[in-house]
Amino acid sequence: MKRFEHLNAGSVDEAVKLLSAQNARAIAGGTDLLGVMKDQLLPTDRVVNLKTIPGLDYIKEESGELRIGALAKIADIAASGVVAQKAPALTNAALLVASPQIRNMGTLGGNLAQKVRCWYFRDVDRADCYKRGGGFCYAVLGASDLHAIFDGAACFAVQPSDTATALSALGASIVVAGPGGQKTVGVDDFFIGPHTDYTRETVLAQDEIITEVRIPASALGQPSLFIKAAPRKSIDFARGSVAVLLVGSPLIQSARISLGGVAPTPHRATEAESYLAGKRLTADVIGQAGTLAANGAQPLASNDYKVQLVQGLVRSALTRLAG
Amino acid sequence: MADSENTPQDAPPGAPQGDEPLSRRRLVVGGIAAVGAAAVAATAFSRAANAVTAQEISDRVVSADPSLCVGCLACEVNCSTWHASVGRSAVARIRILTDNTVKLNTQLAASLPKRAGFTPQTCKQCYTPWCLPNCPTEGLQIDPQTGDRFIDETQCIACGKCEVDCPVEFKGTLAYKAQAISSKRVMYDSVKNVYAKCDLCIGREGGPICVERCPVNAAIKAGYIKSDHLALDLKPSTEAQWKQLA
Repeated sequence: MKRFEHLNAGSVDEAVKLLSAQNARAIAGGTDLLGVMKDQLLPTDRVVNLKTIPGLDYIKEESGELRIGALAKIADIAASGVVAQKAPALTNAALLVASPQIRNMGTLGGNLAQKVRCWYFRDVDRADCYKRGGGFCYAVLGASDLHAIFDGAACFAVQPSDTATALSALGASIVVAGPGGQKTVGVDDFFIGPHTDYTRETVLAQDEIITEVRIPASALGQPSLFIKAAPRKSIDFARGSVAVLLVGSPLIQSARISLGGVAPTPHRATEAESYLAGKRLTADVIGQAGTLAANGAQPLASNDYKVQLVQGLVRSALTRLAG
Repeated sequence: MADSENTPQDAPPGAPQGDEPLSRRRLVVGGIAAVGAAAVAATAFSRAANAVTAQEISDRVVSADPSLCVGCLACEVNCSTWHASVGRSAVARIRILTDNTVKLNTQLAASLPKRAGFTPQTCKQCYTPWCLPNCPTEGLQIDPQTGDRFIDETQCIACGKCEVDCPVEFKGTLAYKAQAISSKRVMYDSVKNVYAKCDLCIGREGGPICVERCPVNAAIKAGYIKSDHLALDLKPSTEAQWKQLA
């Protein structure tokens, strides 16, 4: 492994300062970063340890919102009673993140900021991949089983975070700290696609870190659900996932549906959302919402199955919520 | 070059019309107007504020074959990224629009049946450079070596005259997020307060990045897709080519 320096940050401000060095990267649980470093996928000269920042692993209700510190472990979120009660989609997602070992190490901030799992990006021999600083995407005309059916642009890697999908449906926002202070960004604006910048997946600059995730009062206590499909059910990244939040019962006032594993960002199924507003969850409505959720899909050579997958996942989630 | 290819009276469809049509007099601002010979107009443009002398026809225009486009948007994204990387406007000069009349190349259609119906469009490097003569600064220029029509953003004062005079539009639905677009192919960039158009990546070693990074081009060059031409190619901006381009 290439040599790098390892520095412990004692505070958010210190972490931000330390991250301003060339090729500096933040580490918390390290479950994603270590793989990237071992394969030398991205140049890393400095690793800034965030685990030494005290008090960033809370899960609490405050000012009507559910607030979760960026260093909260995925396992702690999965086991949290308040999360299960107030935002069940996030509990579902946390329980489905990877394996128990990874959930015990991985943090919410890290899960949101992880790099993509595209098999070409992760292949050490594909240095010309866009995300590695090159100028080619092998998935366009190659094996595209894992890749985007929505919003691909030059690069077709998908957003792998399960918690991102759940938080998108919950309408959460993310607090980011950087050299200019703190800012709060909606989840749907936090993730950026390759059409905006193919080298990164989020708005985070190198010297910015996530400090907190906030789930708004409007989503708390409302029915929500996250489900995912993966070849190895107990551990794998999602080939497709869906998170749904419904407000209003039996007549739906509003719905938020976010799809994971099928686009470079959590993908909001806005046509299906609009369709559901003012309707009851009958079998016909659920069927049509599933169909609409896949509208606009443009599959590549070997990911056409994701169109049916998305439709099925949305119908399954709505059926379960109709209970 | 035949006179018919460069006579301004042969205005392309959509070219500015009305009280002040784009005439040779407007094109040839300054002393050259008195000469009036088609042969002169064919080889040189000049204007009082910006004495540009150049061949009329650009050596190069990005020519797209929609039947070889799978709508991956590599051209759009790389166009935007490269221009931003050299300090120019990040506006994508090439855009992919949807067009359900396009039939995909049979080899591509066999593996990518759902990726048909796209048409790449960009500045047509008009054989008569309609955008140039009314530019009050040296913002719009013609490269004396290649004839490329390009905007020097350091000279652009964002007056918008080039946009008004541009005879071609992006009109329809973008492949990216199915957004509607109705805009001239000389576009205003509100972030940098300049106008931008395809400049064929002037100054870039290797030429236009859209041509270089098109994955279908790569597959054709590698022999995986049989085609006697590229999906995105460079061709002289003749009148015939102008009419053929989307």
